[in-house]
Amino acid sequence: MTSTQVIFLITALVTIFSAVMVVGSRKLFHSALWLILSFLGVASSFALLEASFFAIVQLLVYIGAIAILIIFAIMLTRDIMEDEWQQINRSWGLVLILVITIFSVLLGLYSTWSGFQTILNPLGISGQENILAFGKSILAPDGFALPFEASSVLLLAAMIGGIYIAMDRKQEGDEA
Amino acid sequence: MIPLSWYLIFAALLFAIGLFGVITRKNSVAILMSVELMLNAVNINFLAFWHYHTQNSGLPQVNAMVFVAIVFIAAAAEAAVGLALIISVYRQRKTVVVPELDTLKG
Repeated sequence: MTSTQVIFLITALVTIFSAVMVVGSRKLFHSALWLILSFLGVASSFALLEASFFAIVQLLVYIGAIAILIIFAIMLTRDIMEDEWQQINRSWGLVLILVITIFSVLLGLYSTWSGFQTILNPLGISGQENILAFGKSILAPDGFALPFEASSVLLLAAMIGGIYIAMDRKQEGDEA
Repeated sequence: MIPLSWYLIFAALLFAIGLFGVITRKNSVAILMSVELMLNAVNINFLAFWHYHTQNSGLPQVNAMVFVAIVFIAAAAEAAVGLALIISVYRQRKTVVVPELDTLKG
């Protein structure tokens, strides 16, 4: 077993463990902190896949923005759910069976594919050629310019929608 | 040097854990957190196959990267709108627990 494999196994175990803690933790705030650890694990597995750009984007977008947003939401709605309450549905056993079934069906489908055991070697591409090609393709009209612009419009619309939904309209009416 | 299968199993496990959380958790913020886990699992799958494809063809491939970027954008939009909705619901109903939000129940 090489050192890369050991690093991958450690990050994967940490990520899976923190994902289990996100779902299983009784305190919502602890869930959010475990979520940050599992985002970090996912970022390091991106780095192991030589997608360094996305490892950094994962750090910036998920840990920097989404995790902070989630922590804000937990703080704002905090004392609503007592931490001693049952945090999951009564039918969790059924769901567990369903999820295990889906997982084993996925693995069964994967294992019938001939490329499943392929070893991923380091890419022979030097420097930042991948990122250069990516940057060119999202701005090329015959590439992905249209989906890229459409997703920027989606982000803008989501931002405006978020502000509008979260606006306190009652106070506004009082002032008017 | 890492087999592709390890990444796929890792991503499938993460996806299964996220799915379990989405269906069973009662608090809506916890449901959003589980959705983020599922999106992360999908991104790992995309990038693993991107590495596989680049390795096989020997040329820089961009399709998977564009997909991952759009998944990131969708995740950010979903988190922003979802949390705004949760805060808005909290203001009106004083709760964010999903089983208590049953106005539409007949």
